[in-house]
Amino acid sequence: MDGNQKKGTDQKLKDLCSEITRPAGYRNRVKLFHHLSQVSPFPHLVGFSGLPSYEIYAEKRAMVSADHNFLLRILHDQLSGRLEAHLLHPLEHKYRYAFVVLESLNREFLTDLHGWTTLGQIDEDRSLSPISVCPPSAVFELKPGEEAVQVYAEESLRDCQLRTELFSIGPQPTLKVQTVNLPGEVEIKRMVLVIDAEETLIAVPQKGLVFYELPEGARSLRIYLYE
Amino acid sequence: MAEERKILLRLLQIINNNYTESDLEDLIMSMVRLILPLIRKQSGLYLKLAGYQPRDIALLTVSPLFIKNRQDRFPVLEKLFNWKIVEKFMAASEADFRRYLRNILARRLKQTFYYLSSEIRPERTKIRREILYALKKIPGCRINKENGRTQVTIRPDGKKKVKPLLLLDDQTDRLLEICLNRGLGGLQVPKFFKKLVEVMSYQELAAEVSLNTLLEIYIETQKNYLLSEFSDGPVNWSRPENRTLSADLNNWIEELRTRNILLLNRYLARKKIGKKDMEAYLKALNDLLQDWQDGGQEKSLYEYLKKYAPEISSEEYRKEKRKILEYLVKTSRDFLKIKLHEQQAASGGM
Repeated sequence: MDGNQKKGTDQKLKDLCSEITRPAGYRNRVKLFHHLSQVSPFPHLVGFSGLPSYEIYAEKRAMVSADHNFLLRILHDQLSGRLEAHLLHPLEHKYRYAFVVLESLNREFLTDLHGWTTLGQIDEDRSLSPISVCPPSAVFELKPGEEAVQVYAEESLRDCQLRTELFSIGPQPTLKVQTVNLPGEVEIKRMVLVIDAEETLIAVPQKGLVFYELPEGARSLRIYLYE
Repeated sequence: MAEERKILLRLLQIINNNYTESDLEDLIMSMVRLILPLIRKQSGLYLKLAGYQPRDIALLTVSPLFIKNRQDRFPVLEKLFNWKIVEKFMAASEADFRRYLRNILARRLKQTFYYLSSEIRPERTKIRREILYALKKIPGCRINKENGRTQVTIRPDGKKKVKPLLLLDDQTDRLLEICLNRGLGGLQVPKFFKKLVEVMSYQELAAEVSLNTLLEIYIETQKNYLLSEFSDGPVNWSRPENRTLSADLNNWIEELRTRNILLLNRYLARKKIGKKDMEAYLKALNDLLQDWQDGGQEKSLYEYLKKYAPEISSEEYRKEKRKILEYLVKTSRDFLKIKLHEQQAASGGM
């Protein structure tokens, strides 16, 4: 192997490592800004139903996007000492399974079905700025024995399709997912598989391909693409 | 520190959720390093033609281990190397862990090849299957298997009173001519054969040919179409590499032909074969080499030889000819393998 090729290989491996451990350089991320005047004293009333009372949570700050569509509320869980984040948007596919990126920490967190994610015990003064969010660019639904159906896509991924194959060799069934018809300039940085709205698997595609090992009895699958 | 020991320590750090980016990098690098020699050993021409490098296969094998969940854990990796397993190997010898790790990586590599089989399977085999599938659906087409050969009968319209002209394997030029003149190039397999049957019906033709003949006709038509339509068109990203490979392959095959002539001349000098046999062997080998270039061996060696020595019986072949032909094929295959390995070594296999 000559020097240049070895360098290329090492770089490719380093890229994979950094893609796994660090937030991807998302193309369609939305930057959030401090929303100083709108901190609610009753966080439990906004968007939470059935969650513990306001005495448990204290709102630390609220952040909004420039167009005021995204609202991210950072809350402090007084019992565990952890920070939680709640993302809101008028459209559900914008807050469901969106990445919240804490750029100063070089970390990303994936929200759940309700736009909720746990940030953990982090230094709020140093970690909470700047923040950006990256909603999925396309969402596909997959049922056993059927082809993946696009349920939502942004303009750039309208023609994108997923080719899926299920393999039953090995201890667990494996789902092969491959993106097809991607526009040349689009690179899928993350592919997230949500199994029965419970288990979430976050993958970094290699050559547009991901092999997911599925738990047995998985019925409803959703695949989210992020560019 | 041995590579395996390093991997074990990194795994322990990951299980304890006490790792840095560089630990993860070390772990992935070590696994890829362990797996690359296995891939180089297994990777052949098909892999290269399918646009995959050994490095891609290594990353595709390793990356499912590093799929994270929302809790930032690696469920597959932590299942394979749970705390109990890692603790056991911390106390065991490095050789034991090396064996365990290699077994796991080799098994996962095998799975990766299996998952990618639809992409790296020889193209001709894929087309054959498509043709079979398409012919089954077209009225007037019948598929028979005789002595391991797949024969196709095309009788487009049985209702006509005029007996159609029957084309056999040695009249395939007529079929190819129809395909080329009727502009069937560029059509996908089902449409191609549907249209061909329509034209045959119109021209009152029928055919009894082997599946391989139809495959050749399809490929030849597509080649002709591509040459005429797209010779000046844009090339895709993987083209330059494949083109180099293809050029190399052509050179190797030319070299191989010369070697085979030399080998057969030796047999001839020792009066082990006659002049006529030598020609038949050479032509059969040429066909086989062509099939290797196009994706793989299509039929038994006996069938390759029988095409040019129709008088030989299977018993005669078994007694006298098989040994020589198998030897020639083996040396040809070894020659190509060496050339491929040399090329991989020269390019670092990456």
